[in-house]
This record gives sequence, structure tokens and C-alpha cells, in this order.
Amino acid sequence: MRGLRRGTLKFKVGPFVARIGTTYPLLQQDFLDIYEGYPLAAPEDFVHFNLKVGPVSLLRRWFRPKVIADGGFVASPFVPLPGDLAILALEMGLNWQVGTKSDQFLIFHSGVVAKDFEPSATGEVRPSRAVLMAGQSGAGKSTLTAGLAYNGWRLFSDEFALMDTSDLQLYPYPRPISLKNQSIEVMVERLGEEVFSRPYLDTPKGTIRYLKAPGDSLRNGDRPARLDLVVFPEYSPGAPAQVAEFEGAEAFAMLRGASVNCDRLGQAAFDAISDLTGRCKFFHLQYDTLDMAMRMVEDLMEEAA
Amino acid sequence: MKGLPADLKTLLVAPHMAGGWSAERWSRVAYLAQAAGVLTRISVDLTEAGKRTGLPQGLEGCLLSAERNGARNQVRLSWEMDRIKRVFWDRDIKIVLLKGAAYLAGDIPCTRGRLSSDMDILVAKDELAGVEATLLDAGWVSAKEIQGDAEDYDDLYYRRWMHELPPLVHEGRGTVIDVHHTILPPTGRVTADGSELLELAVPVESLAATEVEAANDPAERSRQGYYVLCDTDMLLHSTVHLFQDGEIRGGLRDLVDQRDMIAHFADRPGFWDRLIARAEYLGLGRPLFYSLRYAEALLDAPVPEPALKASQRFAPPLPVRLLMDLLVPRALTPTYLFDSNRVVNFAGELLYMRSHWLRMPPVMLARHLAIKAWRRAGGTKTA
Repeated sequence: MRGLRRGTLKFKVGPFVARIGTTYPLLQQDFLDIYEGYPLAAPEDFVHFNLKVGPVSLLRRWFRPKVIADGGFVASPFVPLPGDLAILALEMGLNWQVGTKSDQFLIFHSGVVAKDFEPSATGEVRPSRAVLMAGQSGAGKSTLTAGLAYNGWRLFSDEFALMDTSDLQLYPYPRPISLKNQSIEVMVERLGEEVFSRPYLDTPKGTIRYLKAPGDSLRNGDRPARLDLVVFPEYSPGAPAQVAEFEGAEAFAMLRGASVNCDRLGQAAFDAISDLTGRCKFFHLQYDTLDMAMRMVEDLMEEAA
Repeated sequence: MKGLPADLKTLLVAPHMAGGWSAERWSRVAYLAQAAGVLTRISVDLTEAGKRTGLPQGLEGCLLSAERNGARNQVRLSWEMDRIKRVFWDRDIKIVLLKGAAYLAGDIPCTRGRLSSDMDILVAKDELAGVEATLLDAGWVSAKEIQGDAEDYDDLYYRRWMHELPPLVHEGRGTVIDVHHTILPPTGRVTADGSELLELAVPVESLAATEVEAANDPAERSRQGYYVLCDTDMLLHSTVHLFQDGEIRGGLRDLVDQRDMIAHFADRPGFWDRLIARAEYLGLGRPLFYSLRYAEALLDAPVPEPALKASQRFAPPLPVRLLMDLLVPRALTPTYLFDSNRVVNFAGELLYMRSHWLRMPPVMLARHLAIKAWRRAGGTKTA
């Protein structure tokens, strides 16, 4: 708590270290609740992102509180939010910095989970294998990511897939999963209240509750995985389940469309996406229930193996 | 005079001396470098100096990110030069590149790792209307229109009182071009005659060894046919931009540009005499004085003693100089997000007021600020 107030709190999210400060008591509480269990950075770790969240003015600390994130950059798109939604300012502030200033990675806007394997009897270490879930917002990737992350898969991210273009490994970016509106109910019923934040009402995206990142995803935040499977899920109530494989140019175009920063990386991104197009399996998924979607992903991963 | 933070200065002027620092020091200086817009340059220099090993965990990624960003920025700038040239292919018109595009085309050392947001060009005043019409015809639109905020005042303000057209944005690429007819607003305390600058502008020199090479290199093709300001004017323009027209706050990158130009041009025969004479002739002595003074004091720019002495004739009265010595280094210095920056902010505010003061006569300034304030109260956006 003291570190947070003084802005000396440094914690790790996958390959990144973020330094956070806020003097706003409500945000301190919310943050410590949602980020419980995150590894703290060691003194020898470089800090990638700095973020302060505070009231827009002294008046707005007490009277109709408004807070805003400050990463120290002139051209940042941060907008003031009501004091009660301070955690959103922090989440959006951090995501914006990662999304715009991490071009060491090829970033996809997607959910990612991975299967870890025990070392084989001969002691051979098997690499973790990841599935990337992309698609329009509202297609249900957060819900699907959340479902898998609490059911035998390791959470990498619900927001960004971070790919090292030199070896095509995916790196974890385990953040609280923001669930919206109807999906909250579905997931609370499955997982219970205790893994959720309090509800945030009347956000720009409706009601939000944060699902905490599972402990194993935080403890293994430095273990990469290889990407084998790319799915574009689509939630369509009442429709029959459908799996449609695609490949080649379509796969390239879909993957490229999911990328946040491929134009900033240029050649490195083009080569990486080309390689992935040849190596991964790509599917459109149409699903009705979460269980159905999860089973589809399990099966497809079995096949891809 | 207060200097730059020591580590930042080391990275800017002697990157080969960097290293052996704790992660805490690197984190802080990387933040400052990013805030000042010089992180990419520093990354490039560290690579050059063979200093990219043995760094704290995680820093390498940050530097790689900065480098990729810079590389892409230069490709974009080069391509933009190519596209703009194409628009004017059948016109006999002298287009002078300014700032980032000029450094890139002229291969001035400060182009390495330099991020440019906009493209700036200078044309003769009587070509202005034609150039604007041609660009509008070829896919550029007024930036204000795009924001859905075609307020007459801003447009009028630019056209009547500024040294450039309102910014134009390319519809397809989203890139911005500023078309200038001179380098200072005609309303300011100090003005500059654009035609003087155009007259001495020089064609961009080919960097390719052979004609075949030139024809096959896209960057080379994109720069051919353009002009850049002559050496003295190129430096003077940057000094004017920082110390006369701009607000100084956040302008460390410009001072770094000036330092590189000083070092690059210093050995050209007669450069310093020409520079002083040219500043005198164009009436741009004061900003040159500041530039040489602070580039030397803060960034160890190699300004020869006689040149420093000669520039003294452009110095402001002593009280002003003392005040500037107090404010400028503070306003140029970025502060770490978690450090108190009250002094810096105050220095920045004062210099911001100064920049407006220099831009227009008092009555006009009062009117301008009144209109802006009135509009802000009404909730509308201003330039």
C-alpha cells in the first residue's frame, strides 16, 4: 500500500515491469484486490512502463471525483473518468502503453491460453502450446479465454498476444480479464464470487467486473509457448456448432488483421505472419454455449498436436 | 547553469561511455529519453558503440522497440517525400524540405533515430495558393475538416497571421503536411523573409556512388529533385523554431539536432563567419545566440571560442540572459514521472507565455487569447 502511494510499487506482467503510483485511496484498494498475487519486480529488473493515476485537480479529488491516468507522454489519449472507475483508467493506461510502445513484440489483439506439459518420463521438456483467439470485440473471446484459463489451460492474455519475431514464441501477458454485461453472470456462476472484482457500473462499455488472473499464470509469467492453433470464435445463440478450417492467403489476412502493430514492425512482422500461416491451423468457430466452444478448442488442439 | 541529468547527457553526447549502470538508473534515463523523444536515437547510438550487451533484463526489448519505430518512421517519411514529389511532377517549382525531411534527405547526422511526425516544406509565397490547390486536388484535405471542426477563426488565423498554411492531411495515409512560405510568423517581433531562404536553398545531393545505384534505391529516388536550406539557414531555422517561435518546453530534441548540425558543419570552410553574418543579415541573431549558448553548455556542442564571442553581439540585456539561463535548462529537461516537477512546470509556463509574446503584438495577442478562452469556455476545440 505504501509503495503504491509513493509510486515505488513495481510488479511484473509477463516480460514487462510496470511501476505504478496513485494517491487515490479507492484505487489503492481496488488495485491491491485485483492484482493480489502478482510477482514484484527485483531491483535488477528494468522498468518498461510508468503510470500514475490521480484526480484531475484538487477540487475533483473530493467533489464529484474525476481521475485520469498519466504516463508522462504528451500524445496519450487518456480521458478523465469518475473516481469510482479509477481502476479502468489504470487498466486502459497500462494497455495503451503496452499496445503502443512494445514493438519488440509483434502484438495481436486477442486472447491467448496455453497447455503446459509435464516433462516426459525420459526427462525431456515439452514446450507449452498455445491457442490464439482473435476476432471482433463482442465475439466472445474474453469469455472463452476466461473459461479456458480456469479449466486446465494457462492464461496468457485476454488482450494482447505478444510474439517474439526472432523465434515465434508467444509470451504471457496475464492481466485481469475484463468481463462485460451478460458474460459476467455466466462466469460468476461457474467460478464463484471470490475470483471477481467488485462490479463497475456505467463504464463506457456498460458494467464491468474483473476476473483475477489465476495464480499459476502469474507464477509462470516468464514461460513462453509455441503457437499451434488460431481460432476466430463467433458467439451465435441458437445456431448449430460449426468448425470451418481455412488456410493460405485468408489465414494470412485474418492474422494480419488481428495484429496491432504489424505496420510498425514492417518486414519482421510480414515474415513472422508468413511463417505462422504455414505452421498453424486456422479455424472459424461458431458456438452456442461456452462449454461447446471450450470443447471445440480442446478437440482442435488435440488434432493440431 | 543547471545541466541535463547526467546519464541522459552521457547517452546523448558520449554513448560509448554509457554502461555499468543499475536497472534503476537505466529505467529512469530510458523514461527521460522517451519523454524527450530521443530514445530511438540513443538506441541507434548504443548499437553503433557496441553497447547493447550486458544491459539489465528487459532493456534490450525497449531499445529494439524504439529502433523499429525509428526505422518505420524513416520509411514513411521517405515514401511521403516520394508521393508529394509525384504530385508536382509536371510543375517547375522549387520545393524546399524543412526539419526532419531535410535532415533525412540531406543525410545530416541528427537524422539517425529521429522521429518526425509531420512533413514540412517551404515554397515561394506566390506559389502558395497553387501548391495548396494541387495538394487538395491530389487527396489531401484540411486537417480541421477531418476533425469536423471547420471553425473559421482557426483557418483565418493561419492564413492571415501565420507563416504556413493550415495543416493538410492525406486522406489515405493519414500523413500531415505543413506548407510554409517562410519560417516565422509575419506578426512576430522577429520576422524572416522566405524568399531570402529560397534563394540560397541547395539541391539535395545524391548519396549514391553510381547512377545505377541511385536508380535502384527507393530512398535515393525519393530525395532527388528536392531542395534543402543551405547549411547556415538549416541551423538557423532550427534555432528559430526552438527559441523564437516555439515554447522551448519539451524542445530538447531540437537542441540535440542543433548540436549535431553544429558538429557536422563546423569544419566547413568559413562556416562560422558565414553563420554569424547570415544571422545578422536575416535578423535571426538572438535565437542563434541562445542555440550556441545552450547547445554548448548542455550538450557540449563544439562551438569554437571566436564564434561564441561573436555571437555575444546578439545577446539580450543581462537580466534577460540571467532569467533565460535559469529557465531554459529547466524547461528543456524532462522529469521522471514520479519526481516532483513543479519547478520545471513553472519554468515551462513562463517560457510558454514568452513564446506568445514573441509571436504577435500585444493587442493582437489579447484578442487571440480572448477568442481562445471564450471558445474553450464554450467547449469548442481550438488550434
